[in-house]
Amino acid sequence: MMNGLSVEAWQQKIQDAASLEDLDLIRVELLGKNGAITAQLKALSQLDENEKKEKGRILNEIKGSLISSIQSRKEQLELAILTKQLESEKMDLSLPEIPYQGGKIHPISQVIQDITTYFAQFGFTVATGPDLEDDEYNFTALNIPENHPARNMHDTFYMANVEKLLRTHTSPVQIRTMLQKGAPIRILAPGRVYRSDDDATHSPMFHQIEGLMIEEIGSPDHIHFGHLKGCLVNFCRSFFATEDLPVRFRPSYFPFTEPSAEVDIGCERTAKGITIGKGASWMEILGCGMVHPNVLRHCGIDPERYQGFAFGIGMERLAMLKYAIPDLRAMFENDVRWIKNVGLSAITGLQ
Amino acid sequence: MRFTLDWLKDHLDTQASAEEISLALTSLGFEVEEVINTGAQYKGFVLGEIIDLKPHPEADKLNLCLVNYGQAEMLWVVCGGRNVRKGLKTIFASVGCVIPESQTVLKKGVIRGVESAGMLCSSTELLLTEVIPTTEHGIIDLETTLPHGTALMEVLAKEFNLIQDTVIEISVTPNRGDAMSVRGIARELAAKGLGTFKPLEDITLDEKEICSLDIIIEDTTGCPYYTARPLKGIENAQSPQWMQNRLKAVGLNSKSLAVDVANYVMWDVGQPLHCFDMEQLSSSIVVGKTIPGTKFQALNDKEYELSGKEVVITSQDRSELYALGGIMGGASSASTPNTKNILIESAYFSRNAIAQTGQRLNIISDSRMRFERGVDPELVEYAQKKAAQLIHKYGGGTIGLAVTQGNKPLNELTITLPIEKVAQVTGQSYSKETIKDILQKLHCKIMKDEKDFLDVRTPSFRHDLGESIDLVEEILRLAGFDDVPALYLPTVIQSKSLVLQDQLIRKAMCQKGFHEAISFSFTSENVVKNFLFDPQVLNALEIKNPISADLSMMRPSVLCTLLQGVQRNIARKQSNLSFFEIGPQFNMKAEQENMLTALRTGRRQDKHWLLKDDKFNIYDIKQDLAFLLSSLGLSDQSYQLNQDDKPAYYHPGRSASLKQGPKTLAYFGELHPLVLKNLDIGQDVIAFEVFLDRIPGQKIKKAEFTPLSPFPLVKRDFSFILDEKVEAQTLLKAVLKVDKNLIQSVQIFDVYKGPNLPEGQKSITFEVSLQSMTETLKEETIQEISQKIISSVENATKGTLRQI
Repeated sequence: MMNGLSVEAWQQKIQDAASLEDLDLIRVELLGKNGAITAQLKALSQLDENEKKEKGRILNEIKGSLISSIQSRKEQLELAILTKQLESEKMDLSLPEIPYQGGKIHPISQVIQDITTYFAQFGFTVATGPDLEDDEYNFTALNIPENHPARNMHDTFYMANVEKLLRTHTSPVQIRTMLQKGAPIRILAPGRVYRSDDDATHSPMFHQIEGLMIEEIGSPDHIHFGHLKGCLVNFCRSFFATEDLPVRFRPSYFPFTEPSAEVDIGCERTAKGITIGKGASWMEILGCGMVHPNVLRHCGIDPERYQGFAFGIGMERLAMLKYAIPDLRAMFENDVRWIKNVGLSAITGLQ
Repeated sequence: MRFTLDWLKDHLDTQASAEEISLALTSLGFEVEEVINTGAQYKGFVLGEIIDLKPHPEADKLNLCLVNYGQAEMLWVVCGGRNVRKGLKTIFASVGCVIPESQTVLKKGVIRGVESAGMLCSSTELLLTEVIPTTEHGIIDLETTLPHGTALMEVLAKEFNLIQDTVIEISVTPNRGDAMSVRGIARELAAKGLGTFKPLEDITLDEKEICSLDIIIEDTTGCPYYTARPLKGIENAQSPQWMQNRLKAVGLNSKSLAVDVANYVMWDVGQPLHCFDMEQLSSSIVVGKTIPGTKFQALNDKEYELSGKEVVITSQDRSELYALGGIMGGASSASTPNTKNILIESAYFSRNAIAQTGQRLNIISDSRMRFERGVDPELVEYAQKKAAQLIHKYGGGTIGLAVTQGNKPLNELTITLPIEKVAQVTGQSYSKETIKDILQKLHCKIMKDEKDFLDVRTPSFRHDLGESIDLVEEILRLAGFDDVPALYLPTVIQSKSLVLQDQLIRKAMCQKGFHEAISFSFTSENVVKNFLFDPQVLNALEIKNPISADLSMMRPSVLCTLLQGVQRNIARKQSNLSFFEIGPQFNMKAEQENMLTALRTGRRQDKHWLLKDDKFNIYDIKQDLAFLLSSLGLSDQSYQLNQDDKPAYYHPGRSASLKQGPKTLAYFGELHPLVLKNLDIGQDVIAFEVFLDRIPGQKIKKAEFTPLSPFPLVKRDFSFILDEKVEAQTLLKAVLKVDKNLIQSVQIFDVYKGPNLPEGQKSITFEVSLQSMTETLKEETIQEISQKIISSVENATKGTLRQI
């Protein structure tokens, strides 16, 4: 008996403790400095050796079981408190987080990137040149001498107070690069070009990629019109991810290439718009040809020793077809709703 | 260039359909723009007659007409025409016809309870109001003896002289002057095997000496060869209907016989002609140059001031100016319907002279188009004779003797074509026989046929064949591109990394939430002024021939056009914006600077419960810039910030440049409130600009591991009271230089200005992290470094340690 209660009664009292505070009072009553167990353990010293040993063992057993009961009750009570606390901490996770807002890449840039990546596998590297060009590089060196009627096709912007014009194509980059590096050469020249044309289907500024490949005649790298065909047929099919895309080469005229061709791809025109692939119609998407000997001569390259091809692709039309963009003019308006809508993710490259 | 099938057959004996001809033209390099079959829309419409008539039982204004339309069975048709009567001949449309006006298919219908098996047409419904006049609410009323059931197309041809023909429009590339005529097109089609090219007729004229005329060519370079032929006493009224029809079909208006004939012959064979009113000419005319500054009243009602370089047709004393040679006639000497005596000019003008004049004066004419692309010298005389013949035939009068001056140029050239060159360029081996055959079909002559080469004589009408590559192209063009097998290029292993700077920038900027913008490289002078630039200083950026005043100057800063975009977005209630653009801008010497320009405005987020005051601030853009530069391999240790050197369009106190020595890498800051006010933007805008050409190229570094210290990191706080003008970077530098090995980082975590501090002072509090690679730092060492930090900062900033 301790303080008039049996061990069992104390055990029950521990189990019944309703709070940590109550439990602690019981602990003090039993095990505190003046607690019942403590007092009985102290009283052991009055007893003889045998009795002391026997009673001490029993007392310590009782003490151990009481401590263990108090501990386990304490854990129960603490868990109950934590559970209650966690319940009270519940949050409404349906509230919106701050959304991650990644920017979008302009479709024109994406097309340029796709094309430069595609041609890189054939050893083409990117070359650049200035937007404000000399007449010489934009026209004369490209076999378009002064008074050539082809100049009328270009609707050129000229600068008022300096002897420059706004390049009408990125072809002058091939001249600059050939003059600098000679042949053989494989380059792509993407960039802004300008023509004074302004209506629903023409913008005074647009983008072009010019490709140029010159190799030595008769060498293992010798290239001819058949390579030009293969290279561009594959490109069209890869770009539009359409394996059986019909691709047609038509004779045309550019002063800087000969023979020259325009390339059409198959499409279907319906009231809903244009679908690329097999269909009743053709759509022109690029111009190309074997580099004219006069262009090579202008760049100090011997046309008896080297030949190659060049091609020029307008980026806007490709972007509009690939990403279903209806309106050319919106490309340069920078309406934030537009770029969110048709721009491309920097991570996935998808719209 | 337009032509009709009917006209084409004057020069080409062919059975080919319009579709076959279109395909052949495309494969020959003439892009077919349009094929218009004007007759096609009248398919199924026939001549009918009302045999019997009775009123509609249910409707006052309708009648039931029994129509004979040439078939065994007659049909009852409901008709609302007010002019219906027994015996009226009109146009009947049976079920299935497409009504041209409405483009609807005619169905068997029930009109107010009565079945109608077709329709009687008005000219409005047939789009023929100009040809067959009808009364209001009336159907076509024809007087004709043609049998019932005659097709409308035939009715139009026989009763109204209106031939329904197929019109084909092609675009002719500027190298092919020879194809700017119906005859030239026929010649190409014949070469492609679509028929037989017909020879030109020999023209014999009944000519008489009717007047004396002197022609003097003074400018033999501009005009080496000139012929003229007078006709007297003609009646210059309308040209015949067939000619008018053809001219109309190809887009030319009918004027008078002489003018129509000149146009017709030009279109037919490609030689431009001009008809003068002889009465307005002096008896001796000069083909030469005139006095600079002379004014010329052209036929197009415009006045041109001449430079004196143009080839003109004048009186010998230069007092009268008759024509701008080869381009356009003058108003005063033009023939009119009243003209009795005319002079037909047919000449050969040099391509260069015409191109120069045309470009300088900016005159476009059919004549210029042909001369500058090159005409066939062999046809100069033929065309003049043909015109005289036609005018005489339809206008009567007397044909005079032609006057010819100068020498007919010989536009033929012998080119040596090495046989192997054909395969070398095209990739396809054609036999020598094939090569010769193609060249001969193109009217080239084989002058020499050797084992390895051919000497080829080009025809007089081709101005684009100058060297062997031109012949190679012709062979490939005629043989067809489909013949050449497509070969694929082998792939090449890239030793260099393919990541381009632009791509890297785009990824970095998108990661930071910027959208990519592309704006025009030009802007308006007004925007440039609004940007506090002096347009006078920037006059190098002015465009001579801008498309509009809004696009009249190259932009001196990409921000000009980006901010125009901000303006438009705000107008559309989109005011939280982050944009970047990679593109050119131009300095006062019109030199191009390739830029990365970015701006932010508004809030980071549209209203959000987690974010209260969330406006972008200057340190956001500073972070963006630092992140971008580090993506390009530039740590913040590699450049210096300078708050004194930046453009005027920034807020003077909230902007700076980043420099590497004297070189400016970038600007950033808040835009000047005045700029924003000028552009009507009512919210702050922060921006940065990076000069991409000045960013050092990234070297690919060898991978190297920096070991991590196993010893404890010690942190100490310091607070200094400083003059408010002292820049934080001065303090940071002073701390960092104390011990580069032990000081791992310095973090400013408080900046204070306020009542507890004297006026003009501020406090900066920062934490220094110390760590050694080799030992646990001893208290004495820490003390020693702390003392050094204090004295270094005090020295550099003249500030004092604040006792915390």
